[in-house]
Amino acid sequence: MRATGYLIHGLALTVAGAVLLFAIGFALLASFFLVGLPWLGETIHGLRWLANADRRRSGNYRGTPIDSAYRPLTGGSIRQLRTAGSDPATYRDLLWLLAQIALGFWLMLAAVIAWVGFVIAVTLPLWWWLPAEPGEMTGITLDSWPNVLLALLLNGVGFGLLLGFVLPWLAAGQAWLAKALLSPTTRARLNARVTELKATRAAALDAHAAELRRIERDLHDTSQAGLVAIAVRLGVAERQLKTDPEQAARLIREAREGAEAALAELRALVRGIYPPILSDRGLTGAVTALATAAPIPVEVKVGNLGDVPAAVEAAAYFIVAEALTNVAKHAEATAARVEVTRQNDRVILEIADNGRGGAKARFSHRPATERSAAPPATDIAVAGGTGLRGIARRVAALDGRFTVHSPAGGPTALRAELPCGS
Amino acid sequence: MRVVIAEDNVLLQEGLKLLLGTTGFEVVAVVDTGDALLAALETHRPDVAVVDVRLPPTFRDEGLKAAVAARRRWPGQPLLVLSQYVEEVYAAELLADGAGGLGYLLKDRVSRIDEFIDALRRVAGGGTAMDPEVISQLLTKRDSDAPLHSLTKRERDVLSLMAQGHDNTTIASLLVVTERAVSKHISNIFAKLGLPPSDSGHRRVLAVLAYLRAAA
Repeated sequence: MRATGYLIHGLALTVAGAVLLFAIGFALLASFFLVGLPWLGETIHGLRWLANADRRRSGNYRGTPIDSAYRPLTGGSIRQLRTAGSDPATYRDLLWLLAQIALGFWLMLAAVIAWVGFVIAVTLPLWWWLPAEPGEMTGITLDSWPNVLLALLLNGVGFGLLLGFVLPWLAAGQAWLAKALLSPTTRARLNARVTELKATRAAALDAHAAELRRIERDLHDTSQAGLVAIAVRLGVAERQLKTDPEQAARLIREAREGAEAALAELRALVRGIYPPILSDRGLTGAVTALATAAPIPVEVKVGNLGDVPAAVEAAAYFIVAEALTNVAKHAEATAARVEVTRQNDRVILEIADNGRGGAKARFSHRPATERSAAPPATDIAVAGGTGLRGIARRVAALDGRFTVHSPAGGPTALRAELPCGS
Repeated sequence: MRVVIAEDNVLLQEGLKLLLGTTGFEVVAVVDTGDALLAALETHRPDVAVVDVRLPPTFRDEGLKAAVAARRRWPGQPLLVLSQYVEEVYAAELLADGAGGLGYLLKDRVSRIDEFIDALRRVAGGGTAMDPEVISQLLTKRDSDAPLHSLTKRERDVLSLMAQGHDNTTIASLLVVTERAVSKHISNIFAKLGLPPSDSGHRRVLAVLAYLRAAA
């Protein structure tokens, strides 16, 4: 049955494939007059879509998914065309398309014939019983009971074997062919990985550079300026110590107040770079501290995390902090739960509350599908963040995944996956 | 008054020695690790020790751990813990034994000499000195607490100062009111929060801190 479904499903691909092949031919022809070039670009999208459809079909049938590794199509149609033209996967897809068109119809036909034959064979007595001209089946004239039974036996077994053994074998063969043609070559796989790593590395470097600039700016604006002001006050006070002790005392007091303000700013700055409690207590202790500081009871569960890079730890901390702030501010919840676990190379953060939900409506957030888009160059690690958007940005900076589940009426559940870069 | 200092940063060591030396304290030992602190406490049995949270070799919460260990070995040993940042969980760990003679302050507070010395003397005398930032963290956390909301602005100020460990006299002078007015505010606060009235001293501070720290 599965084999039949697979093969019949293949007919749809074959028909679509034939149409596509015709379209490609037409677009190629038209390309000689240049007008066809954009159309050719469109057919590439169609080809990829169709090939992906068969990746799903054949992958499902084989029980092991078939990956794809295309060079991403970006820019104008000419550039897309050039990318596709230099991508070996395009030609392998075309090869698959031809094979699918050539084989798909016949395989589907085999499935239909096998079923029709089988059904006719097992219902032969009925046909015989009907008052009609005696027909014949596979060379046996159906004119007597023994002949009918013989035909039933021979054809039942024959078509049964076709259904039970030959069709699955054919389907497996086609699925194998699809896998052979549609699976990316090792080279393509590596190429795709390199492209992906290049993009995430560039994003990480951007984020890092922006972070350094922010720290530099903050140090200049707060601490350095503050220290200059203090030094000036102390210098003037020193000169006026004898002549105007009252004025000197006022300046010294202002200098001390300035020092206190600078210290407070430095503390806030440090907390925004890497919260000290993280280095003191690790993620477990830091998350527990956040939970303790929350206005509602927060249950904390931290699994065995293994080695987590400092950048990921810091991001995880800020995400939990922002999520709990959101809960306190908007959720009207009476309890929340934070769970931090490790799955292979990912740290998984789950923050849930029993509040009124609807978080999506109140914050527009970057959907998970945009996760690989480079984050804006500024304010990536601003300690306060801006709710869900801030969380999404932090997750994107690490090339992680972020989902919000918050139906109106609640409850809200956030999930962030942060790769640890192995 | 004899003091042991546990601080690894030379600048801060010098600063503390200068400050304590000029205000009538006797610095009997300056150490820079948690283990050395325990040894120095054993040898000198000082009136109070000033301990930095971050100490070698780990530069994590070595000092805090040493402080907790010291309090376990010598219950009630007055300790003033200094830190670059305050965390409520740290305060909770220090307060866990329920004894007085404990301080937990931001390092910044050292610059207000009179207040710092006052805090140090209070701790040495068995009192409490909680950083205003710890108290404001606790108050923010309990923002939706109904009894706390029923306090007047003045009563909240008094509560905050009381939680920091100040006695009625100091509270009165800080808020520029009479001591009688302070006592009245305090009995109002205790009534509104449903706490049994308690005498002046660290027992009262601990009761207020316990109230603030309890989950809503």
